[in-house]
Amino acid sequence: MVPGKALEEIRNLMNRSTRSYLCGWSPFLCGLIALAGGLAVRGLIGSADAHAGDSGFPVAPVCIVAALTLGLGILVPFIFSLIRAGRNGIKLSFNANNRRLFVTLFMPVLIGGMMCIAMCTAKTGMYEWIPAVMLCFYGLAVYNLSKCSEPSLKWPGLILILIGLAACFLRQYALVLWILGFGGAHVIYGTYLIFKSRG
Amino acid sequence: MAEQNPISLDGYDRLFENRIRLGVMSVLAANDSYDFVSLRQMLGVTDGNLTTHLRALETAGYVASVKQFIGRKPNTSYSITEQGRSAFTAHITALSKLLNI
Repeated sequence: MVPGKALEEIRNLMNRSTRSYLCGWSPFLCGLIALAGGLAVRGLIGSADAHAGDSGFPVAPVCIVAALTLGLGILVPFIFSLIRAGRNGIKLSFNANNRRLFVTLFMPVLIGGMMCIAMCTAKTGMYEWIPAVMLCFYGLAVYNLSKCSEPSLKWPGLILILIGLAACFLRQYALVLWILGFGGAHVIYGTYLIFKSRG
Repeated sequence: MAEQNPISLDGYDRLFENRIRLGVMSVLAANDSYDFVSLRQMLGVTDGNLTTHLRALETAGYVASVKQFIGRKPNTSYSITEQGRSAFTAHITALSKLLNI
């Protein structure tokens, strides 16, 4: 075999064969953060309703809680994974496989996120649709992720999509369903992975 | 410092001239361990073919295997040895040197 071709093939095989291992603690932590964020928003809306005369939806505090939840939800598992990878001597590389994972997850999530921002700026109240959009797009992303990572990811993906569709119709319960989806599904799937990896 | 001959073939391993053996080493170098079935799918070869090449690599001491049962199914997983890794690295270095002549 020609040396150039052999090297090309070695690189290709090494990239293709590398598996991504999912750690259960990341979804678990994500879920706890989502639960905290969702319940905080619920509390905020509840107290706004209790104050007669307050003009409806407490936009600013909810946005702050939402930004905090998103930031922590990405940062905490990321830092946690970095620490764990370092301790186990795993090198994190942005190889072809990881790049594909990244695009598969974040493309639908970013598009859904843009839609949510657009809904926030709409003059007529579109707020009640936001949890449904988030759940559906995130569910689709997770479902597709199952094809290039852990195959069992398709179950939480499907459940998120179903909860998202339910939230489309039962809009008065949208927030509860959001907490159930982002909090519950993450925590349950994370726990499943943790127990599975222990054998 | 020893002067290196740019066209020396130091590290070139005849055992890796075969495409499948080189493929096995590439996969095992990138992963902690890999089971037989996944290895076969990754390389697109037949059972018998892969077994022969794996045995050759094992005899050379480049690859170690662990046989175990998952439920009732036998499962053999392979991993690269220290010796195998250094031979593989040396081979790649030799190949890149050949390219740069």
